[in-house]
Amino acid sequence: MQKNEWAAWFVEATNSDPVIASHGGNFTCKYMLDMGSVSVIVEMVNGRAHRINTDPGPMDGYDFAFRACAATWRDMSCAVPEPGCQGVFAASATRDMKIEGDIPVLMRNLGNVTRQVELLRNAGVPV
Amino acid sequence: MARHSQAVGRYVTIDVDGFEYEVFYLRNGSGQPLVCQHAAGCHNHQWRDMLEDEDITRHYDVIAYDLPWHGKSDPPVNQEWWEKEYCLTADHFMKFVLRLCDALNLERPVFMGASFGGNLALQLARYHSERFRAVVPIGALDYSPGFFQNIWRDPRANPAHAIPNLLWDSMAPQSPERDRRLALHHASQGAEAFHGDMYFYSVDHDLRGELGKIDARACPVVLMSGSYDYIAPPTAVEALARQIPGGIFVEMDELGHLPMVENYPKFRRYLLEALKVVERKSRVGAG
Repeated sequence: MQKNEWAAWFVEATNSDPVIASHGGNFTCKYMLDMGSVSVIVEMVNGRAHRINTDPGPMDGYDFAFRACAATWRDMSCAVPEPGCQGVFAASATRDMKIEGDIPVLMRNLGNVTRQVELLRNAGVPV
Repeated sequence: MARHSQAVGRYVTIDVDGFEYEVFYLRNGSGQPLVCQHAAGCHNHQWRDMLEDEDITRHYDVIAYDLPWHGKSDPPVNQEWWEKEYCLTADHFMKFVLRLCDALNLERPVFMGASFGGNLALQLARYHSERFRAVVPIGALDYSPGFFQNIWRDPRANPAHAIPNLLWDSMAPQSPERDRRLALHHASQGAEAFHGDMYFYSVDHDLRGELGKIDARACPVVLMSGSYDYIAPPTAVEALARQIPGGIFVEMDELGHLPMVENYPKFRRYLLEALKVVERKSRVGAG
């Protein structure tokens, strides 16, 4: 899937997800998914995917980032991930996943961000 | 039609180092006492399915308590606890279990604990093996640094949300979502205690170089780890078992750090095997 096509899918998957709809009323933040050859910034506003920046520049800000190679992201987005690839914290312990930025912002949104990462199991990643 | 659980809840008051605790516990079954410690920041509902499993309660008197500061066990009733920081030490944690077992007249119970309860099981095996028939540490490590963090009290992080959701990754994706959500629900209720629990987990608990001194003949040790447990992964836990002369390791496929909550039907298969090992090893030890 190309990154623009993937971004459209990710917006739709997020905004139609019943878990985020029921828990994400205050889910407002910006975060980067750094997947090696492709990076995107996800902008969440009150539980809705407001914008996916598929071509972020060096001055485009965000609150926190998840950085890993394409292989790690692909393994995490399998329908049933192998042990160690079931989430960003698991991958940070077992693979090359790095979690960077404003950690309190991540933590207060952790349930919803975790849910979005799990949504990747439905359509994969653009790398 | 109303359906009552066979598990019954009671309170018992005990004194531990001058701290008076009114301890809540759930109990069901008969036979060999089996005492169960929940994970950090959680409570005894983590053992509810096991408490109602007739294949267990037919042979075991299962006692699952809430550690003080957790669930229905309040902070010490005779202390102005709100003026002090809660920091659980290994010594106090062990004494608490010993006093509780005394109060309930339990003779050489099997002790089972998960996560920080698993670490406690190793402490008990190391320092009080004569008091227990066996210990079953689940997701346990000899040393588990890094989790005593100020972020667990940082209001910007919303700890009551962050702490339970941090556990999500430690469970297997194959486990039923309903049960994994329940695990988060339990953990969301103990966020205030979690930081103090982590003092034991990541600071005061350090059995590096001590496991070889555990007398696993007197007190068999059956270590269990789920294949999706990235906190206490099977490779690390198996290495610990090798350090304990006579230590037994059980790897649980498609389970994680909190197997008794996240997928009890799958966990019970491994648990029944582990308890068979306990029976066999403790007979050998006694002989």
